[in-house]
Amino acid sequence: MVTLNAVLSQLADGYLILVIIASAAYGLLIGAIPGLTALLASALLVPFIIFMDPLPAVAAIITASAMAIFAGDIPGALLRMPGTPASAAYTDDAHGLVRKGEVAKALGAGLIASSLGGLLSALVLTMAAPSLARVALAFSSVEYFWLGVLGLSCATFVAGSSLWKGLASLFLGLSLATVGMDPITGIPRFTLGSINLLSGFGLIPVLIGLFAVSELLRNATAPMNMNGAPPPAGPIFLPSLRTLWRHKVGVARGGLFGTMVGALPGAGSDIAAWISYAVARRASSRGRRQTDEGATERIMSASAANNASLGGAYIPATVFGIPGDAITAIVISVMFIKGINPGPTLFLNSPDVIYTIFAIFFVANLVMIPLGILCMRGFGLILRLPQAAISPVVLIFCILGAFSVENTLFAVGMIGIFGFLGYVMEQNEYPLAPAILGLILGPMIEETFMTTMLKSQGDLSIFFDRTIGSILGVVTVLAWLLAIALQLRPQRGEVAQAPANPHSGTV
Amino acid sequence: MRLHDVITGPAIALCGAGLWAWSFTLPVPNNADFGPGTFPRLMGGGLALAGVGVAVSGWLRGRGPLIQRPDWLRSGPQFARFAAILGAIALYPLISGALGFLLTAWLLLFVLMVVNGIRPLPALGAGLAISAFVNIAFASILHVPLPWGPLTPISGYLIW
Repeated sequence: MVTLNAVLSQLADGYLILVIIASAAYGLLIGAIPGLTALLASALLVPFIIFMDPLPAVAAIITASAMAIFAGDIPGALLRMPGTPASAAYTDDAHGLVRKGEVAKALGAGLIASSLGGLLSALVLTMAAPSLARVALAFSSVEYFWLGVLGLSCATFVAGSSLWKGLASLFLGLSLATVGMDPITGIPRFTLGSINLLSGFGLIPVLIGLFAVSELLRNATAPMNMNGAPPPAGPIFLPSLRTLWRHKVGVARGGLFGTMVGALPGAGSDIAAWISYAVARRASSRGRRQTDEGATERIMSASAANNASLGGAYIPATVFGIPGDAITAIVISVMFIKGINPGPTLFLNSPDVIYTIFAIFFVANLVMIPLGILCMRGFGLILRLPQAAISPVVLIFCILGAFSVENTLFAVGMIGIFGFLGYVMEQNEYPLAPAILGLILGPMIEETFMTTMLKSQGDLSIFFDRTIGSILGVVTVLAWLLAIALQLRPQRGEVAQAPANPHSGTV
Repeated sequence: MRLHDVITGPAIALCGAGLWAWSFTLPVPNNADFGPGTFPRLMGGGLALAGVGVAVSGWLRGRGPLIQRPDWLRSGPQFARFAAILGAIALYPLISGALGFLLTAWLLLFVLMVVNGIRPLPALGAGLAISAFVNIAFASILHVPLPWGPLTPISGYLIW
């Protein structure tokens, strides 16, 4: 049993607090620069955190990603250029308010909502994860197989407008996951004789390539103009608190939606924000209004959702070791490298570590308020950063990130190949999230599938023999039927259209 | 570059079929019904099926050119920026061993900044400052085994 004192004493480490503050400032900076996402912020942290102890390493990613998601709102509201895809849903509403001089409503309310959404998801994570972990202790290879398949199915179905393209991306990731030694017999497969491929494609170089390098390539072909001075911010904190009280229901709804969507593998904060925005616009009497009040309701609801999705993504990550999105995939890789094995046994073996990780969520979302206000006031300085120098520096850190994790030049070449592949996939509307989750979950699904098949000597009915396993199997099959039914139905309305962008599942 | 689904779909289907066929070459352990090729075979089949699905749905939809060249291919500076990123990644493994990280990063930063529109002299200075900072932080302090190149004989004094 872990006591609050034990967690607080872990948190009271000066080095940990320094890491949280530094990564918060870093996350705010990256998120506030249009074109640089929260995922990129997390991937670029890897070369630094690989040398840290496990807790500060995970704390750095949690804090930086939460800050970057919020900071994406700032250029969105002030310049109508969302810093991250997660802020795109309400950019027009927020910019409209700023043009009327309502900076406190546009950004301050979003900041408070982001913080509360994050806190709500941290609360759900802390309450739900231990109970789920107790259930997960009874899981066999059958349950893990179905969980993996269910996760991949969700990632594929929510990823884009075309189910076939989502499936193609998924099978591409699963196929790439088969490169390297067979998990059961250890026989090398598809390695072309290269020892670099014996352990498969390294996850971090692939992630850096698919998300960071492809983003640099996309930015290179779209000239970025960050001209124009931001308007004066005025008082932010107290007016925002007053606004919060009027929109408390919208914030709570956004927070819960965000947590649930975040817990689905593959559904990132951008999808959470779009869904929450659409629900606020349709289902809430306040959110329907074409007034400042309506815009504030929509902004607060969606801001709460995109930050809450981060906490939600840690539920499957910590309980089952299955990442909810690409950021948690990086966290899981870092945890493995650091000797923390995410999964139900983590709650038994190292409860102090896992509860401190949860506590870091609370700290990060509280630190967000003062640092976020500072960032809004200092946004003029961020605008003065020479854009032409940023992408070369980011590229050098991409190269360093790949090299420092794998210690091979092969990994550096991989970021180029996967960067180009990611760019081509996005240009042709193939979602990236299913591919990356296929690559991450592929080995686990193969191992559980083969183990189960060997146990049953090829009898497929074993997948429906156990109670929890058969429930998960039925849920997975129902999810497939639902996806096919939705695909056959003609798509109408903004909810169907909004998340259909190639970034879906990224942040 | 945007390609019509009737091009990308068959390309994906071919990859899937290739993986499916390749999986048969993997050995099956004695007395076992399943081997290292079982899962790749299923995935190759799935990939091929998804490729066919993309192609058929693209064929039924029908609209749009087969190949759509993006505007940036006609813009010199934008094409140069795009090519410079891929070129830098390709060049790093080839020259970093001989030149070391410091010189390689300096060279790459200089070229990328100039391609991005920064004047050569500031690019040279900024490139040196950034690459020196990164080299000190990662190689000297964090002990990442970055190559030292011509500095190898004195690298012992530079790792703290």
